[in-house]
Amino acid sequence: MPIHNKFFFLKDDKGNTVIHPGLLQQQGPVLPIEIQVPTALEKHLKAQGKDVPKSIEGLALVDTGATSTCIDHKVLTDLGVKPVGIIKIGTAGGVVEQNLFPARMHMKHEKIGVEFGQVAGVNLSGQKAGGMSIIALIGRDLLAQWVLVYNGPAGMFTLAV
Amino acid sequence: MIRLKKELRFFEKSRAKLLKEHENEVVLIKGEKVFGFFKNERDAYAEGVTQFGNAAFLIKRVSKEKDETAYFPALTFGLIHADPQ
Repeated sequence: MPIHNKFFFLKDDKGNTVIHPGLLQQQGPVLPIEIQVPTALEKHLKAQGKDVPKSIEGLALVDTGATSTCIDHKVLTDLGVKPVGIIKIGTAGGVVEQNLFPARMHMKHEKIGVEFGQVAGVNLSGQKAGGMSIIALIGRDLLAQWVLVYNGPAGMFTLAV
Repeated sequence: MIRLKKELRFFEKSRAKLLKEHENEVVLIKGEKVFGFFKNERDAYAEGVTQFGNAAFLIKRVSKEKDETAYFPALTFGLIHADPQ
């Protein structure tokens, strides 16, 4: 099981790059990701001689409170992916229905690819960490297969995938 | 706007019948018609794209269990919006 350590760095007064535990607290455990069209759709578009939409970059927040992984609805619709289901989601205002989409997530630095048969499309617009948009929450469906260690004092977290 | 409500209503109406021969398989539905049963969602999606191209269609596991509600506390408590409209 490959282990990936993610540190949070800042420049200090002398211009040195130092680990900054406060950044992990502020931003949360986030990872750079790309969202891509599902493999089957990519093959279909290529076979039709059509352009494959470019992947969309952003951050994924590892959210141990989330039942399952979800992706920003706008990212999925911008990629032209069509829905394949409906899911009920609990909110402060009661249970609402949202569409499920197929999708592919690629964690660039860790070189991890995940293909989702169905993932919830939700509104994550305006959510940012360190100036980058959060476009996905990594929930317990993926964490069921991974090991997550959150090391606050050291300003790092570890994923074994 | 939430799509595939018609397909989901058809699935619910047909659930008992589907369970008899296809429990735990994944069904592909478009409109009010079944287009096949598969081992997993990815295979069903690949077949759906082959048959309908990049279109909306329902992929659903045939199960006795009612759909559970998913919880995203960041959404539940309004820290992140739940409604994509």
